[in-house]
Amino acid sequence: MKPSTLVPLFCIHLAILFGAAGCINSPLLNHAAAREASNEPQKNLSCSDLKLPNAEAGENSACPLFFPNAGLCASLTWEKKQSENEKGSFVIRFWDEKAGNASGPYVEPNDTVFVELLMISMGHGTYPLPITSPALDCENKAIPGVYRTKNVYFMMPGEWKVFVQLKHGNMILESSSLSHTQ
Amino acid sequence: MKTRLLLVSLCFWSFTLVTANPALAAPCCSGSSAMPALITGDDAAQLSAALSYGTVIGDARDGDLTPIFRSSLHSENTTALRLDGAKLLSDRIQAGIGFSILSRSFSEGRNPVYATRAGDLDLNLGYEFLPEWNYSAWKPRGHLFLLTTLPTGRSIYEAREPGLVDATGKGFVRLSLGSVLIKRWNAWDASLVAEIHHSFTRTFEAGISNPQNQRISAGWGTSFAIGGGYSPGAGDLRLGVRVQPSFAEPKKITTPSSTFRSGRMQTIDTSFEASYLLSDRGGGSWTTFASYIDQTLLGPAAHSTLSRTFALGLQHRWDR
Repeated sequence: MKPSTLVPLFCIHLAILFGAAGCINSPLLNHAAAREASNEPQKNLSCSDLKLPNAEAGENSACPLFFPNAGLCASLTWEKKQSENEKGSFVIRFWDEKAGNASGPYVEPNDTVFVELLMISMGHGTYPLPITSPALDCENKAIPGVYRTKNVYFMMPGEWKVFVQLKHGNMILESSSLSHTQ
Repeated sequence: MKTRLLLVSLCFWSFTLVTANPALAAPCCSGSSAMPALITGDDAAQLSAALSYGTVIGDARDGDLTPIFRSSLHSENTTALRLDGAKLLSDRIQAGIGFSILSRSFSEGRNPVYATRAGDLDLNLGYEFLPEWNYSAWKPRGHLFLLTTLPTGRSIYEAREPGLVDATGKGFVRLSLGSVLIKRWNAWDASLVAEIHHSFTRTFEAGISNPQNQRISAGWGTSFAIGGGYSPGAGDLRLGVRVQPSFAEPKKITTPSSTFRSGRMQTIDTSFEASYLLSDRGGGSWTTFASYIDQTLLGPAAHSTLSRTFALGLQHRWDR
């Protein structure tokens, strides 16, 4: 068999291979594109807003984040979603499971509030870590039961879990999570 | 003879396409090859060096969700220098070693971060279980290999740089058992590599990027590669294509507060290869090679980053 015969044959095989890419769910031909930048409306909550109810993403149920041992519920309100230039931030509000609701009154947990972001499907977290601290009112005083998480950074697109934890020292007492698609 | 060659060729490619369909694996952040450093020809030893540049194009999610291709602002690249060597210990037994230095970069529009670190170390033993002492039109040459991967690189669970850019290894001691079948017909060749591996459970202490201790069972995985090549005029140039589906079972992640299971990872690498025999004198030969590996051509892929990698390399072989 001459090379002049074999080369076209080889090329045909390559063409078949490329053609097959379209038939077997090729990622190249079946994909979504990541957003170039966040188109979500950005809402910068002022210090006075933090005390007010604010039904937002993740607050579809009466108790979006449940901490049964502490008897607390919590909500998560995005303040600013991650964009190309900035990391995101959100506000977490805690209330008594029986005596309160998303509108308040807000209750200070007895334990330290900590937030962790995990991409369960890939089996890893992210870095830098988010920073959670008590939200401050207009007089720079901590608002009981309201926390602000800054530096929220999802390092790749996909399905993430936002874990809100109650910790005592290094020990995690309770953990509750919400899904987030980046 | 002509018809026979045509038939063999068509069967081979048909088989390639059929077996490529149920694509199954490679985990996030570090590529994997089905085949270790192994002498598959009539050589006493070989040493190769390859420089590769890979860029992450997108992220595959659950199998029924479409992958997301990254925006132009989200850049994640890996440059790797890989060294592989193998030597015959006896007529049919050989040992090999493979090692990489990886330089990774990550950026989302601005403030790119970089890290350069060692990758994982591969040590392997090979046994030629199907020698080619007599000519056969169909019987391939076959090797079995036992590959141990030692986690000398930093894993994604230990990374401490933004974007986990300093993750250069898988993080687990891994044992792989596999076989390589190679058949050459004058200008044509075909190969089949199949391997199964197990990663041993490991506990990662809480660190900068990992607030809790994590006990991770990565479990079992498998991959197979099927490929073919053609040397025009049975000369010094070889052009080849290879398809490698890979699969890894979900990782079980146990933290002090809960237990999770990651998704099942699956990818299909499609490789286009070219190699050229530079010289074959003085008891050895020099070969240069190039390859382009694309994880976005064939699918479906799940729970993995999807990369495109270009590699250039040089290999020296010592005759028996």
